[in-house]
Amino acid sequence: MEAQGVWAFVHVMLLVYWLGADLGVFYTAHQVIKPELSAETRAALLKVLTFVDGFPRAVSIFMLPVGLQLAAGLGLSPVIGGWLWTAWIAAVLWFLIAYTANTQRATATGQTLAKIDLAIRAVLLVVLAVAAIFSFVGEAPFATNWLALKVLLFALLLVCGIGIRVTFAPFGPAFAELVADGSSPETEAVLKRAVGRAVPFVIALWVLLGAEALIGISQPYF
Amino acid sequence: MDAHEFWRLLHLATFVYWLGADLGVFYSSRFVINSAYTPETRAVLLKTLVWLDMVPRYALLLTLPVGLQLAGGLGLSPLSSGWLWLVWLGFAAWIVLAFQIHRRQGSDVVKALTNIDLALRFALILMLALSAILSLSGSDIFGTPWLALKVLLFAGAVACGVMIRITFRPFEPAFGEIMKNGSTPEVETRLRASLNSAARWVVLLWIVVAAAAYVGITQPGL
Repeated sequence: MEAQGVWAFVHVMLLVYWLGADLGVFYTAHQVIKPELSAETRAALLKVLTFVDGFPRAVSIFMLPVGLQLAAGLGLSPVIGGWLWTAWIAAVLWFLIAYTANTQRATATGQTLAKIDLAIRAVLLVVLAVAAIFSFVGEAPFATNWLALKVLLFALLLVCGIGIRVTFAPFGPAFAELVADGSSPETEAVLKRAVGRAVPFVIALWVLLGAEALIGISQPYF
Repeated sequence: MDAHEFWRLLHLATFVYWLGADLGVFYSSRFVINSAYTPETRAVLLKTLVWLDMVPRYALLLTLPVGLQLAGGLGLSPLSSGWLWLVWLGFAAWIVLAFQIHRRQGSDVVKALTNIDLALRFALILMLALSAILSLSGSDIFGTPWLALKVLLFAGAVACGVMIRITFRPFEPAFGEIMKNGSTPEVETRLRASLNSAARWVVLLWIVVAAAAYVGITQPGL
């Protein structure tokens, strides 16, 4: 078994559990906002949504070190050796922060971690975008333009992720209200608006992932 | 994007939506068999399951013509382009058949259509497994051993799908009984037994499909 082949397989599997699993999130999100369903049914749908959504959340973080690993194997990235190990450790730490922030959402620690997670994403998207633009103009850090373009699109993926987070933020408190006090036109409107506003970012994210895959497949020279 | 890249992207997409969407199917099934939930919740979760399950079903059907198209592009397919057109036509008809089975759920005509679908699957498994084994044992129908192995794994995946259908058969009448007459320990046991035995085939299917992806990505010399 050749290492590069194994990493390529892992890279594809991460896409499976990001893009493919997202379909389950999308469908259940549109079921959960139906006011004609009972609170119990909607809570069960939300459980499915939360479980399935855990996969894209996790794999999107590990896409980066796996991508760097592949790029290093192709000799296209300066992130090798000890730096690559650092990227892996950073990704594991980031995952732990994001995971705890998501599962402990109701606690003060969870909210602090969510802010740290958001800050990581903001810094990362700037770093990735700058690295990509430098690579387009010059030859470094990424040796080919197709890889630089993939990195730039990943920065945009992070933007979409933040967009989903921000637009979807009112959903949690509104749903808690629904469970505690029952349905009201105001609560239902908040739920519907949260899902409706997140949709454009979700669609953009899917298109970007498709574009990422296509660039990886064709590796165009430009 | 040239034609071959387009087919590669589509091939990847069928894999992504086959395996990825199955996650939502699998998890929502746990709620459907949970007798602690109200019939409404269980029925809505079953609806979610059935809707999401359509995606892997179509992805499976698309995998074969898209795979043959790719093999043709690599000069590895035993089919000339005239035959390939026929395969596409056949699969278009099959997709229409699968859609009708989904839409007319519960009617008598579905029973006949389901039997046709099942017979087609048996024929396909036999044909694919036989040609793959012949190819592996020296007649080289598929040009390279790795492609023959993929065809064999695909036959295995279709067989797992057939086993899921067969083990799932007691599920629908049992669920109908719960909806009509309420829950009894006996009918819940039947429901759970059906789902649990199907789940084993689902997990096996995931492994087989992932193995096929691995072989396709690494294209090992066997």
